[in-house]
Amino acid sequence: MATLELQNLSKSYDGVTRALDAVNLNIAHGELVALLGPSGCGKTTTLRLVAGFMEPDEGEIRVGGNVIASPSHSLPPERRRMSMIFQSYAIWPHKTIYQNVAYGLKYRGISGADAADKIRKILGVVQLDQLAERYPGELSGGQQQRVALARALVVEPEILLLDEPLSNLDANLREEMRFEIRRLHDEFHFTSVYVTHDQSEAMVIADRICVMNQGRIEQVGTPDEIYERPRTRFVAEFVGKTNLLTGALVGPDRFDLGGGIVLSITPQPDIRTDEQISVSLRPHDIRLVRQADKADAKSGNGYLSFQGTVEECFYFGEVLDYQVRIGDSCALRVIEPPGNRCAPGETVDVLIHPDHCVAVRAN
Amino acid sequence: MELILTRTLARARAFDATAIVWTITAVLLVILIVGPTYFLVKESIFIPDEVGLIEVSGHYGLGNFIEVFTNDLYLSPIFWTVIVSISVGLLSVAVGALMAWAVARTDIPFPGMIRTGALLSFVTPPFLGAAAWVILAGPREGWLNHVYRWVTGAGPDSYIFDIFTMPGLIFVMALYVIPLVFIVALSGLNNISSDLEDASNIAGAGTLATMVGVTLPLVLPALFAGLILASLESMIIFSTPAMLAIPAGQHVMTTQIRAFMQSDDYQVGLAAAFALPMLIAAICLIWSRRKALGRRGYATIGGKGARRRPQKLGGYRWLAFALCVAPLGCSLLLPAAALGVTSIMKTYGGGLQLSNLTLEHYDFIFTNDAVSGSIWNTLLLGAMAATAGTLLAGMIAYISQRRLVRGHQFMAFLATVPIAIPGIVLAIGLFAAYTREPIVLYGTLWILFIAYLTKYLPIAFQTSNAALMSIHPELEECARILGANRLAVFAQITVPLFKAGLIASWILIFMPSIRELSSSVLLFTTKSKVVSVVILDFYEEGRLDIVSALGVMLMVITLFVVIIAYRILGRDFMRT
Repeated sequence: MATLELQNLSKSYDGVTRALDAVNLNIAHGELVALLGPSGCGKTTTLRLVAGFMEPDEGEIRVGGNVIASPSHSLPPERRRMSMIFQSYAIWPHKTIYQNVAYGLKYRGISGADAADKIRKILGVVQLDQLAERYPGELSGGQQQRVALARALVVEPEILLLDEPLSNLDANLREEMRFEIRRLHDEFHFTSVYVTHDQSEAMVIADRICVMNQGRIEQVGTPDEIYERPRTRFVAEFVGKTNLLTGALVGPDRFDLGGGIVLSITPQPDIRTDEQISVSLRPHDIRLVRQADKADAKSGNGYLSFQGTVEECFYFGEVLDYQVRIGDSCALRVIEPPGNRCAPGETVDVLIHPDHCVAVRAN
Repeated sequence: MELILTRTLARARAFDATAIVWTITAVLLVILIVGPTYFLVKESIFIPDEVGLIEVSGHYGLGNFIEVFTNDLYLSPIFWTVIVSISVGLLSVAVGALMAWAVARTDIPFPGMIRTGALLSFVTPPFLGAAAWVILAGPREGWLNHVYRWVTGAGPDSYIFDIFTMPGLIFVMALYVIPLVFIVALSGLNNISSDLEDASNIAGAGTLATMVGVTLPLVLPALFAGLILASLESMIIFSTPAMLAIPAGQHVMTTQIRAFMQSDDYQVGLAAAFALPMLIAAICLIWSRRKALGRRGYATIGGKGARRRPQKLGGYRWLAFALCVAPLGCSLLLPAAALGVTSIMKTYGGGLQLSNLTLEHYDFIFTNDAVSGSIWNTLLLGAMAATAGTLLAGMIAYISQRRLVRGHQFMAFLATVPIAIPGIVLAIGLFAAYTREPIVLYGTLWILFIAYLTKYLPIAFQTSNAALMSIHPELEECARILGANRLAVFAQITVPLFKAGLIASWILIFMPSIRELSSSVLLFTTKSKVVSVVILDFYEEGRLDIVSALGVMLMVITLFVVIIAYRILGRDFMRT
């Protein structure tokens, strides 16, 4: 069972600041976890520690319960039975596609007909069987990416590591390859760690997302949990667009924005009332109702209604992006489907549902 | 405490055999660079009690410096070195920069031919150029003076050209420095996008205003760098002054150093005291060049894809072409003709008649034991220095880029230090270091080998470094995670990708090694002569016919290597 456990993992490059600070993470067999965060958050450091290109200062890394890295003992990368897909693809330009894919098999003790069979099969999976004898220089970016996938998968690694594998592709190809990688994972089920700074990539590909910031883990959860129930202000802001409302908790489910506006929010059991919190409210969870359409208002479904004024409205084709003010101090961004456009200056009813108001730690 | 202990143990276990290789490389490098420098300084302040012996008692003091810098006899070479360096620098920048501008920015005919010509004249040994110009413009027998007499009907003793003068020296030296400036300025110009000039035009500036206000300031760092390189080259060169200034009765610093070293009483101390300021001047020049280029780093902004909009020269196209070709003709075609013809004439000055033609000079150089021995020595030394230098430079580049040992930055620095050590200064240091116990290398080829290896290490290092920079570390990491250990990765991934860089650096050591003179001239003995030294010997005996035959051979070998390099590496192999 190739479970991967990181326990209390720390790493410092200069001996002063911690690039990685006491990170704990358990990854189940066959699970794909994305490490998501801005540059410098420690996600790449984590991956390189797992790969064995660096040794931890503190903590342990275990695969299937066996320690592979600790401050006193660290297996070199070549003895960890892993594969890695690199940001630069790292396709060897002096070897053909076939030779590139064959390289790792040699070190797994697989050769001859067995190897040829495996290589033919994996090249078929990534749809490169026609190009086996070509050199990488003759391939497009997307094809090189597939070679990197084939080379990593053919050795049937215990752990598959992916370091921003799509960041060098153009936007269309990137979207296509997301689904491709997820499809391959559903087919092979290797325990995988996927590093990315692109939230939508993480959403599509990962079973669970681990959001990191400044060397620490902010939150680990399924894509839905991360998006709908962010725990910290950082997660709420980094994943998706949001309105972060400041104010004071005046009860387990009451949040005072000031100026007489009090929101009902979903209580968060692990957040104490004496903590500094903000409330995250996604722009497209808010509804605007024009005065003229008041009759249709769905305020019945648990929505609370506040009176507000439209300040700005931008047309994006598929959506309308509003800036709305309720009360004196609270400006909200609201995203609505087009049609029935409100004009700047218009007075509207702003509908907010307590389910969408998520308390987050303000840190 | 326990933590420290377990960590140390972990280090010991993680220790891999390759670490030994890295360490040996580092130690070799330190010996190579620090050794001669230490002995140079030591000799300069050592005053022997007794004259004429190597192992003598003595004391330390500043006597050598006082002698060298107060005696008029020794001040005049310093004066002339400064004059010549500045003159050659300015002259070659003026000509080289204009040539570069014409090639890079105008519709001059055959720009490729001018580039190739500049490259070929760059690889021509300057001492062959000097010898050829003696044949062309010697006051009595010079071809040009013969032509002058024939045209004007002047008497047999009258002449208009005399190469054995300071202007003659400056002229010949500039001929072989111009290509260097040309190459530097050309790359500076090629790195400036025409967009920058277009932007100035759009803003309302005319062609001239744009050139003065935009183009010139942008290439200024490159021009300054060119000026410094040119002056430095002229300061440290030995061969051309030895051939042209000494007959004119004037020493420059390099020739004075040889005079010290060859004098009957032991004057290594004076030579060292004379050489140290030269070393310091060279270091200052290199430093100011770095400073100038570094500060104006934007000169390289723009990139290769930059669009070019050539200036139309109209009727002046061919005039410009003629002006660009003239220096190349003087440094390449005329000397080649002079040497070629002289090498097959029975008697120098006997005229170009069938009865005066012979191959005996070629026969002589290949059958005379001393001469053919020196040819063999030269090729052997070139190959040895190139092979060892390529390996060492490749290792250092690898270590410093992959940060394999502590102090790797220092190794990279040490590998580029010899750029600032003039060949003749290096030779004094090596002479002082290896003529005494425990290591006596003087009198063997090894001391020449070390000289060449040290002198050309920087160019090999820079070439390897650039080549290695283009190999992404992830290419190696990927092989490791798939199961290969560090050594296997090096052999299977790094070296194959590194091959072109290694070949380039081999060639870039071999080519200058086979024509090296300024170090060799202090380090050779009768048992260990090389071609360049033999050429100087025959020149000083007045045997221009043998000099020509040897020169033609040397040029053929050089041309051969250049063609191979072109074939393998393409046109850009001399970028550095």
